Amino acid sequence: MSRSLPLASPVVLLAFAALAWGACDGERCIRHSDCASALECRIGRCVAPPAPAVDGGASGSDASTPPDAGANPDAGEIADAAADASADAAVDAGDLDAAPDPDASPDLDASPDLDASPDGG
Amino acid sequence: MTRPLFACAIVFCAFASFEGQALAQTRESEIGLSAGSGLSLGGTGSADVASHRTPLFLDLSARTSVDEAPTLAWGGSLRLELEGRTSVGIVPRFEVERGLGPIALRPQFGIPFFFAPFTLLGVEAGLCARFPKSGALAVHGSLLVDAYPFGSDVPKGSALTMVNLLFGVLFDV
Repeated sequence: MSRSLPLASPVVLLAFAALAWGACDGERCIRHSDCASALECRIGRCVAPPAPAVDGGASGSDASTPPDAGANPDAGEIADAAADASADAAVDAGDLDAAPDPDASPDLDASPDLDASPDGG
Repeated sequence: MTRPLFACAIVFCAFASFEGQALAQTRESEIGLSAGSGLSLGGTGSADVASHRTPLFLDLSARTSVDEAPTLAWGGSLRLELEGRTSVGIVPRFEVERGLGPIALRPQFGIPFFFAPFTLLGVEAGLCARFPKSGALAVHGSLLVDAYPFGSDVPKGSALTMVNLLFGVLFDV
């Protein structure tokens, strides 16, 4: 009995090694650390992790605010910006909103622009 | 009033007898250096399992037992994954030893915990066969089965299973 174990060990080892090598599926990940550092493993594939909802929403709204304001000029937004306590913020808001407004519809936004500029200055 | 005193006396006697046993015991310790790899399995979706070769890992182990109960031992390992990533973990372990001629078979149970740079927490069951060589030196081969349901390295909704072989040397100290 004690002789059979050492003799059987190489056979078990070879069988196990063949199983391990033959069964490998290198294309699919099973751990996050199988992927590059910037990626994570999801459903067997390395993909970029989703951006946090708060940051994505904030950056998206910041990036989309000027075009939306230009396409759909809203006096309420200008009034809100002018009501901000910070003078710098008001100046920035006035710059952003003043530029697209004359191009898009100068007739509609004449009075809000006038309202915004004194507050910003 | 007598009941607390009686309880204290029992506790004192228990400690005294335990200390007496500890002084009489001879502790046997062993350290080891091993390397291993194997097969890793992980779920990738609904009833879909992918397999990888387990990253090569080093295992620095230590175990100790007392002569009054030489078949029971406890110890642990410092485990380092070295292939494709570098990670560090520990494996507290409990072992039972049964002699089979010159060979010692050691069923073992451990709780592997990788803590850097990611985390993995699971359970490990294994069987170690120790072959004595000259003097305090021995070699061993171990079959380990690990299951990691928890950790930052486990994809969400999945679990990681490993079947590994480990070979190395053991030294009596």
